[in-house]
Amino acid sequence: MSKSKVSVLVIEDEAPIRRFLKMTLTSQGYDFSEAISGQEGMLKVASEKPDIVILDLGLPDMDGLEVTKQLREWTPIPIIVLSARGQEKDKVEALDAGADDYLTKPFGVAELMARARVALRRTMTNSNGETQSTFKFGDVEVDFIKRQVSRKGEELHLTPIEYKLLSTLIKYAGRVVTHNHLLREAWGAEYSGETHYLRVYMAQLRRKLEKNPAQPKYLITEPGVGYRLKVD
Amino acid sequence: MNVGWIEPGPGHYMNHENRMRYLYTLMIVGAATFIARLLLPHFAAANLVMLYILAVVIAAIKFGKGPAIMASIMSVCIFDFFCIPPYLTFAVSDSQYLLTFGVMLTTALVISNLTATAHDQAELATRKEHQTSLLYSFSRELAEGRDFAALANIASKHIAELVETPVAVFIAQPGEVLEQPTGSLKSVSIPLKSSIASDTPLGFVFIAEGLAHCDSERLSTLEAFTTQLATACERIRLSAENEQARVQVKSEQLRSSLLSSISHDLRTPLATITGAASGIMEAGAEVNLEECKELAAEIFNESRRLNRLVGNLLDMTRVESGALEIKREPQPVDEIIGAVISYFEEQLESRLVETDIPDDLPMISGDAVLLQQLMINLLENVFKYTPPDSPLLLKASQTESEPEFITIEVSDRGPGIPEELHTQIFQKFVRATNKSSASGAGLGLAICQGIVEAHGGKLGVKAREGGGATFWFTLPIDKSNIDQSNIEVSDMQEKQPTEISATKA
Repeated sequence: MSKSKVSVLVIEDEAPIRRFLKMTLTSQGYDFSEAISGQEGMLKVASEKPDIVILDLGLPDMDGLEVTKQLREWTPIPIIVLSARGQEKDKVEALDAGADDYLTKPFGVAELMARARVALRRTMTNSNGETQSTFKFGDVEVDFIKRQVSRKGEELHLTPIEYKLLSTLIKYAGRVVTHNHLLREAWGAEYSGETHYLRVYMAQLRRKLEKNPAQPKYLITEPGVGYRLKVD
Repeated sequence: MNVGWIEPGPGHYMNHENRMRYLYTLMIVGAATFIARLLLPHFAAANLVMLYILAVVIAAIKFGKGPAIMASIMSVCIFDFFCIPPYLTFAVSDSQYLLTFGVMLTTALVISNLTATAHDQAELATRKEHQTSLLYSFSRELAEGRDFAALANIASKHIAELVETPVAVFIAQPGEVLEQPTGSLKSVSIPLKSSIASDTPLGFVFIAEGLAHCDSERLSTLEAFTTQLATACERIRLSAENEQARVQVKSEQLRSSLLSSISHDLRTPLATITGAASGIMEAGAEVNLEECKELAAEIFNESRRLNRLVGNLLDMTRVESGALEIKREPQPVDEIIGAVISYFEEQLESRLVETDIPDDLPMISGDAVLLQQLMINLLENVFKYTPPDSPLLLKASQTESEPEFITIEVSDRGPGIPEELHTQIFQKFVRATNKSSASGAGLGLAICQGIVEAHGGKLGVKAREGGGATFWFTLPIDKSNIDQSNIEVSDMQEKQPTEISATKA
């Protein structure tokens, strides 16, 4: 990105929420622009080329899910969707359609900034062309080249599926990864929907990686949506 | 409108019975004549008169006045014809027999009259008794009728038995106005009149074939029946009104308790938000940033509280309207507990949180989102009523007595819950304390109960040993029987990925 400031496009029909986002994002040093409908939003993505889109799922003219799908046809731009509580199905659909993450209304600035940073990191590292050969969280270290996972310096044995799940979560570190996405990555497309396999493996993975699997610090469950590898 | 319609079973009709009575009387007189003819050679004719008197008495007792009178007259004639010389003619050789005939006829008539009267009275008494018992069984069955439909059925059955023709009973619902049913010219419809000054009848008894064939006694019984029926209808009406009034009072009480608790719970955070926001708005030139931030933090926290309250109200509505949709999936218990612990990370920082979940615990079957809501509500309760630094234990176990269920317990070291409230606190708007410091509409646990019951489990609270409360609930284990070892084998056989996408990202 040639621009010095990171630019954010907010597609949201409710004025108070746009106003509060404008205030906080501007004060945090972001370039802010807004759209009040899906159509306008998609035009602005094309013309203004923002770095990240914050998209309300309940827009007056078209479904936020549809906006996500259409954007994904031509741009990898990070998309964070906003949804009301209890709309897990919508969230999962938007995520599976290519949204990067979601926020449940009402949300605070801190949550929004954390999600935005994580989503931006994806495109930033891409553009920088950097690849990391190791990844660390807590006392776990993953060496991608040796395909080794160790905890407190001790090597852990992970099955291929466990390793695949972990590397997928690391790839999207900090972002929620839906059940279907993980199933697709670890088992293949024909396994989508078989969430019980996933749960069994995630439970095993937690036992190997977490100090106390019932009080996980890193492998976080997002009920009804998926899993998130929490990074600081 | 409630309708009962009954066709009576095959009845015995008056005319038919009447004819038979005269026929039987003839046969008795015939029998008397037969015996008289047998005895004639051995007895004086005058003595044989007694046989006929006996026949008259029998006819009078058995068949009443008409047949008895017929028997009296016929006896005299037949006696003359068969037993008085010259035989087989009505002529009389000895004029003294005329006296015999006269006395015989008079005696027979008097006896038949007396006997028949006695008989009629006895029969009347029997009929009265019968009608009384009909009325009694009718009113007893009516008393058991709990609604209009039952009344209509009972009444049509009994009235049809009484009048021996098809009967339809129409009963109006409260507020309903019935048209008077009409049939052919002979049809009769009897309105059921309310005793409590009401112009519109409570209903109608409709007799298509009319009442022409009924005697006065039946008609008076019918009248008694309809009065009884009207009273019964009124009773049902009144009890329905009472019930409605009772429910109304109860829901009125609930509503006012809801309103007072909701309005308190909505107003308190709103008051804080309004106050804090106006504080920021009105801030003068030498505004203190720290103070502003504090006010903003208050707005933030109170808004969260409002959000939770509104969420709970919505959940309660879903639970109550039965709109709770369960998406059953196998869930590892440590995931359910782990998810809520990460949800409340901040609030739990100050507490010692222990988890006790056996490694080999089977998965449960449930809806991840609803179960998280359940755990959130239980933990919020703990936060509300226990000191912020008191420890918390989350435990899961499978008991031998109920191997189909997993029990999950949330135990605190708070003040505990008085035993008399152990069942009540799961009801709406019931809270263990009225401390104003603890906010809440008393919906959280009611929602928990709704969620657990929708999963087919149970929910309860007990005193914890050593102080505090233990909220427990059960969830059914997952029966889809995923064999973990099988997955592991197929996993091991899977060929190693040649490329690791994470490094290429």
